[in-house]
Amino acid sequence: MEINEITLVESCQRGNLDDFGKLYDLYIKKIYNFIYYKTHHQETAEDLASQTFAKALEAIQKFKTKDGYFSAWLYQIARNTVIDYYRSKKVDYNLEDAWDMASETNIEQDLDAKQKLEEIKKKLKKFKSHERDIIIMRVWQEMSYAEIAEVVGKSEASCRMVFSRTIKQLRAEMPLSLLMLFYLMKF
Amino acid sequence: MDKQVKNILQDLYAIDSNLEQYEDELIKIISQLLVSRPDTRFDKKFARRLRAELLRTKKVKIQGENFIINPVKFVSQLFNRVKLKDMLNTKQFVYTGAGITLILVAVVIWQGGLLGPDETRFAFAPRVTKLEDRAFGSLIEVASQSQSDSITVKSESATTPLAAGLGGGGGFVRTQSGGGGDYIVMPVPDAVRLNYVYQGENFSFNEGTVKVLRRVKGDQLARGLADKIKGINLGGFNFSQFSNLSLESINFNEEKDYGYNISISPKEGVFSLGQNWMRWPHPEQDCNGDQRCYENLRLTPQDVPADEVLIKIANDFMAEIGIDRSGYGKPEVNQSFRGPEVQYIGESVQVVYPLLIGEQEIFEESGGKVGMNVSINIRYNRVDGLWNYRTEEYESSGYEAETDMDRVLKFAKQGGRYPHYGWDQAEKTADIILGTPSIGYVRIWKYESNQSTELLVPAYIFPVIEKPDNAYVYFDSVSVPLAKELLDQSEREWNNIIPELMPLLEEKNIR
Repeated sequence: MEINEITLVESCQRGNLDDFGKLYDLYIKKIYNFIYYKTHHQETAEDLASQTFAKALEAIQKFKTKDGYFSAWLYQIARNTVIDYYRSKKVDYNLEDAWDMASETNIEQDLDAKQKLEEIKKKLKKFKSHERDIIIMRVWQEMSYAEIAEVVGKSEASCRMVFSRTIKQLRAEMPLSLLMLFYLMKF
Repeated sequence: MDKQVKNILQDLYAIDSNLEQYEDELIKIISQLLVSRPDTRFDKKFARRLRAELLRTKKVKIQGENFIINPVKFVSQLFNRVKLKDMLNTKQFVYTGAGITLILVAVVIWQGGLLGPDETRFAFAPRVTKLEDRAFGSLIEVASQSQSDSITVKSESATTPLAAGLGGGGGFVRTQSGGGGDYIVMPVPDAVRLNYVYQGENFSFNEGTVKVLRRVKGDQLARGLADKIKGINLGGFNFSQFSNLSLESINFNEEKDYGYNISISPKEGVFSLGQNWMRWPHPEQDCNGDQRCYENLRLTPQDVPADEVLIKIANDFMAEIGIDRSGYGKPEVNQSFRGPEVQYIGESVQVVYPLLIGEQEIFEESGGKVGMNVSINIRYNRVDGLWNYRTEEYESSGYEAETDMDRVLKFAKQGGRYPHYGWDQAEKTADIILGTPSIGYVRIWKYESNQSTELLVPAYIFPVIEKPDNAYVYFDSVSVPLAKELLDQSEREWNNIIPELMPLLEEKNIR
């Protein structure tokens, strides 16, 4: 966490809510994208991002700057908000995000995202939610391992290991289909 | 080869060099992941709208019914497209409307000069009224309540949360993830154990009691203002139907480029201002997801003007808007952005004007000085915020003092009231050198009946005279309060603590 963030959080806790606006500016796009990659639907991502920041604003007095990173706390709220959303849909109690969703489900998804993700979803679906998060943060959100470690609450080394293990698994399990797909996309 | 693919490959090879033989396949896997990235359709208008709603809804509250707007419900209702009539059917919305109207009315009246001068003046100069000894009750509740979220304790019931806390953030914490219930071990950033070394002179404290101060807020002013407004017939509804009203806040927006949002809270006795966000430039919004664009906009510690320049900007601004600085000490630039690991910083740097009670400064338990903050936007070299300009009215009461200086030193060598060793199981250590202490105040919050009271407790303030090279130490001092019962309670609590069982996030707090 940048040091300035500590100052901003502490300032919010003293009642200077305008500084929450500064934290919001730093994270709104990251959190929205994080949620979008879990829901694949713009309107849902906007609703859940709204709820995430509203919850954070309400609970910021309870956050202790010495105990962890603000970003980790915020992402955790976002993650739980997504889980709550899918649970409220009562499709499947174990559903944590759109990656776990059956293709025939009637929960809304953006059509273009659905088509684009069709192939990759088959591969990533097999991983645990936190493994997918690390892959997505590293490849799609282009976050450094230091940032990812901060957010998921693991060490940098652990995040690197998870990423490496996941890629190895992808390579071991589906080399042929991936090769074919790649060439199809290329030509 | 794409740079991002190359970076990812290098990371993979660093962990397992055998992977190099599969480079072609790895490139294809990573490339497929990249081309599958969906367009998230991030909408800047949505972001602006949400920002404005969040800050507006949180600020609006009315104390007359002890009611605070719930921003979660309010915002989620807005964004979940709930019908307006559903909101109107709730008491919550009725009072929201009342609160907003009340503020608007207050602005009109205040601006129109209908109130007498006494009711509209804040007492910004420090003032202390003496009460009998122990007039604030036990201080122990302070120690208990302030930490209740941080730790669990070894006891008959292992799950009973203790009213005690982490204070320094030592050891390691673990947090519960939302759905799966698995635990994440979260180390503190620097895996070093902090070691406090005292290199100061002998010191003593021979007074039998210390004078603890309790801040008095502006309830009287808030009620007086509300009473004035209440008697006015606005048409449509009548304020006289409400009872025990208190004017919580008044907000103004300066509608011009680089304008400000000004907040005045009569009840809290606080004046603050920040950016009118809609009227300040936000160049990052034009990046449209282009990472290089964001990187080019990043600011580094080297972009920060010299301290004298920052202080001049702050002084000039305060002179311009008529802020009296006589109750404050010499301004200092908050240097926290200069940490060895800090590569990029935010847009603002803070100038702190330390508050003085008598000649003494006030410190947070986390090490920073309490005072008025002026935030300077270093991209535009303009003040973009000011907070903690407030009424400084206190009551004082005597409490038994700690006179055993060995005990005080023992607390200093653990980082303060609550042990703060960083990563206490780490092999590496980092020495923090403490110098001879001086007397000041430490600010402590006491929570009772869902309200917080601000207490200033006389304390020995140990300056950090040398920081380690191998760990980032953000605090410049360690404070040890001299009210004996606070130290007694702290010692009792920490005797039985298991430091590794500290949930960072309780599910109830993040849902």
